[in-house]
This record gives sequence, C-alpha cells and structure tokens, in this order.
Amino acid sequence: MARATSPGGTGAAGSGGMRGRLLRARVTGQETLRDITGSIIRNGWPTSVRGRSLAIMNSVFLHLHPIRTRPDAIKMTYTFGLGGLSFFLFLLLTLTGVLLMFYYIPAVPTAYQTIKDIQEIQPFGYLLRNMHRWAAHAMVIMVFLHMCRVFYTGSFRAPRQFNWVVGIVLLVLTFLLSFTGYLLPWDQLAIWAITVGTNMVGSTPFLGETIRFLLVGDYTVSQNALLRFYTLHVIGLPLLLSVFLAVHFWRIRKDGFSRGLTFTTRISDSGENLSAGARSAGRARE
Amino acid sequence: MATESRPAPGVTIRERNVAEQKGAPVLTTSARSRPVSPAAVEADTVQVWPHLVVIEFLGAVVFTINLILLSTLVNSPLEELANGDVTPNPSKAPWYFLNLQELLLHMNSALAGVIVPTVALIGLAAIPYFDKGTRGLGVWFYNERGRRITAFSMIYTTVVLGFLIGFDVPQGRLKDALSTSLKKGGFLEGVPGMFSFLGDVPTATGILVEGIAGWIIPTVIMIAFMILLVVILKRMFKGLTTSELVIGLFSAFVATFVVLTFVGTFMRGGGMTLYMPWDPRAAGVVGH
Repeated sequence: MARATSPGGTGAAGSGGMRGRLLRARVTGQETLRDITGSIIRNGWPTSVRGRSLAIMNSVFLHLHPIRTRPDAIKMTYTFGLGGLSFFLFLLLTLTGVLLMFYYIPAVPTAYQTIKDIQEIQPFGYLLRNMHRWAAHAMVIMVFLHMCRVFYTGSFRAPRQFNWVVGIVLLVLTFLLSFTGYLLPWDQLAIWAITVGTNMVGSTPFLGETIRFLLVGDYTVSQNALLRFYTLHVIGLPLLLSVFLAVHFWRIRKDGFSRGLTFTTRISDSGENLSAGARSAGRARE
Repeated sequence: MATESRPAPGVTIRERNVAEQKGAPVLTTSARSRPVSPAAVEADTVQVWPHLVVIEFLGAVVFTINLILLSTLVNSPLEELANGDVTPNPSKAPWYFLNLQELLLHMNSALAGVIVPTVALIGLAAIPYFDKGTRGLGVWFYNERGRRITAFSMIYTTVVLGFLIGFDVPQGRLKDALSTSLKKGGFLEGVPGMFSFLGDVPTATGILVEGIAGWIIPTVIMIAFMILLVVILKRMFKGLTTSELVIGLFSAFVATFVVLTFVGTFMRGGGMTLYMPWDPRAAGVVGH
C-alpha cells in the first residue's frame, strides 16, 4: 500500500506516514508469525472436543493413541504405566547413549580411558553415564514387570496371542541390549561378566562353539568382541528392537487395549439393542 | 462372585471376556466385534487429550527427575582396566543373568545355560496358546482364587528352591559323592564296568558322573517339583481351570527368577560359596 506522504509526518487519516507504516508492519509481522506457527501446529491449542481429537489425530508422535478411551483403561493402578515407561526409558537410553557416543571410543587401548574421562572429566559426563546405566537397569526391570502385568490381567489371550510373543522377543532383545552394553566400559567387571555369559552360550549343544565364536570373534574376549558388541549395542539391536516395537504398538491398537474401547452389547431376544442410547443424553464427555 | 453378566430372562448376552468382579463394569468384547452406537461410545469414554496424555507426561517427568537425582547421588561402577590374566573371584554375570549362573552351579552347563532358558522362553511364548480361557480379562489375577493361586505358587517355589539350593551346599556335593562311590572302594564300584561301551573305566566313570549328577538328576528334580506343584494345585483348588493352572506355573516362574537372582546377587561370595545375605563375605551387589 504505497502512499505518498511526507516522511515522519502523521497523516490526517491516521493510516499514512511513519506510524501507519509501523502499524501495517506490525500486523504483517503478526500474520507472518501466525503463518509460520500455524503451518507447524495446525489447529491451535486444543480446547474443544474437536480440537482435542485433532491434536491426537494430526500429530505423528501422538497418533499412536486412540482419540477416546475408557476411564478405567487409563487408571494407574491397572497398568502402572509399565509399558509406557519401558518405551520412555528406551527413548531416554537412546538419547543419553547418543550423547555418550561422542566421547566413547570402542577400541581396547582407549575404551576404558574414554569412559573414565566421561565419568570424571567431561562436564556432566558423570550424570550422562549414570543416567544411562541406571535407566538400563530400570528398563530391564520395567519390561519384566510389564510382562507380569500383561499376564496377570489376562491381556495375552486371543486375539492378542501374537502380541505376547512379540513381547517375549522384546524381552530377550532388552536383555541382549543390556548385555552388549555391559562390555563397553572394558573394566574387570565388564570383561569377566561377558566371559561368563558367552561361555554359557558356548555350551549350547552342537552349535555352541560356533555361536560363541560368532559373538566374540576370537578365542577370548578382546578387540573383536568389543567392536561386535559395540555395533550390536549401538545400532544393530536398537534397530531390531524398533521394528518389533512398531509391530507391538500396531497390534495393541488393532487388537484393542484390554480394558479398551469396545463394549458389551446386550441384545434382547426380539433383537432390540438394550445398550444403545441408554446413557447418551447430553454432550460427549470431554 | 455374582456379576451383572447373569442374563435376565429374555436377554441374550453376546459377549466374550467377561470380568468377574463385584461391581465392576462388564468389560470388552474383542476389538473386532460389532460396533455400538456413537452415543454409547461417547458417554462412556473420555478424550485421550488431555486425560491420558497428561498422565503420560507427568509419569515421564517424575521418572526423569528421580533418575537424574539418583544419577547425581550414586555413581555407576567402574573397576580397574580389563585384564585377561586376573580373574576376579567371584566372577559374576550381570544381575539379570545371575539366575542362570546360579543354575550353572547345580547342573551341567549346557542344561543350565541353554536348555532350561530356551525351554522357559518357549514356554512363556506358548502361554496364550494353552490358556484359551475368557474370564478375568482386564482384572488383576482374574479373581480371588487367582490371587490365592499366585500366592501359593510363589511360596511353594521359594520354599522348594531354598531347600534345593541349601541341599546342594557345597556345590558339586552330589557329584563328589557319586564320583567317590563309582570309583574303586565305593559301593557302586562295579557299575562303570557295566557301561564298558562308553569306554574304559575312568572314561565311563566320568561320563556316568556327569550324566547322572549333571543331567539326569537335575532334570528329574525340576520336572518332579513342577508336577508336584500341579498336583497340589489341583488338590487345593477344586475344579482348577487351565487358566488358573497357567497362573500357578507362571507365578512359579516369576518366583524362580526372583529367588535365583537374589541368591546369585546377595548370597554368593568367593568361589561361589553360599553365604547368608547378611554375611559380609557374600559379594553383595556385584554385577551392577
């Protein structure tokens, strides 16, 4: 809106001159900001039922959830959030793990020293390493407790049998992740714990020695083992875990959560649906 | 345990997975069941945003704060540099494998380290294909009986394991006894000679000792005590269903895992000698 006015003067109509230009610039700036944020968050802060539904549906991170759920399905005393906590711990471990990777070197001459540096010299390195270690133990415990919860609430029965099997696979992968990570500090605790573990594997009938050699890469636990365990721990097993996690979550949504969204339908002998409409007065519960 | 699932006359209940609990709402048919009216759905549900999302967020935040606090207060262990020539005593696996290491002390290594865990994992994975029950979905322990079965199985397992571990002190006691009795001067002296197809007498003796004390006796003991549990459960709980039996066995597995891990962590010291948990010679929380 170019308008020929004297510079610095306030025009009679209030929309000319410097003030007018500043006002228009402010409005345009606000619009631009709204454009930018609105292109990222498309529906604004959710307040209505529709808005809240869209917040779940339109988010790549949240669209794993259903839109609505039953109140007794989300009671803490039912699931204790164990599965969710396990997944959260996996994400936390990935984050702290990546940060640790900037300083850790998986070679026999340097592994121990880099861990020592992280623990004692790097600013907040001790925090990072401790968080990683305690979260790792916590994840093993949470996954085990989650298995117990799923079992004792009968949430493994048809049609959820396959998801239970996927869960067992995830349990084994969690143990393996913890085991491979155990070797990386390359201290006495690490090397001998892994020696004990791989010797147990080595006593498998027929294929034992082959499997042990495949894992360890040598006759004793040394550089080859360190590199193999590092690769498995950092990318191989996490990728595998992620794939199985994806299947696991998919099946939960498809089979329905065990205290889930579907209902008992009572049909009278005459075919009338006795459940429908009985409590439908009023607007939807938010 | 009367529930509202008892049909009134003239009403057909088309449902599966009925929860039996006083006053609890009758729960869930499978997700593939017939749809219900949107009004019915709306009346009984709440929006995930904010109700579930807020719980998840708070849970994550609280857990992270606690983890950070723990991490500032307690350091992860870091011992001396790895040295292949110096074996620490005791040499322990990470704590979640200490249960297997405990088993190793009592039977052949292939059995303890490979066969038992594999069978256990396959058994776990196969649970849903055995338990085809429909009752109790969504309710902890299904019902009051489930609670009692769980408690009993866990106590039974703890007692039996305590007895078995205590009996095998020091480790290899059975093996040594068998070994001396099969050798010259022992009361089973002639037996290795009967197994001459295994080789000469010392070889045959070695194979027999390992086979009996390492394989046969442990396997028989494990199977026998599991069967005993099943028999006792069937006697104690009239009309035991497959579901309830599976609860009993799973509880026994969980108790085994916990007890063996506890013994391996807190009761095994130098040379894997058994100590009481309060004895300072027990290696304590090694392997964390």
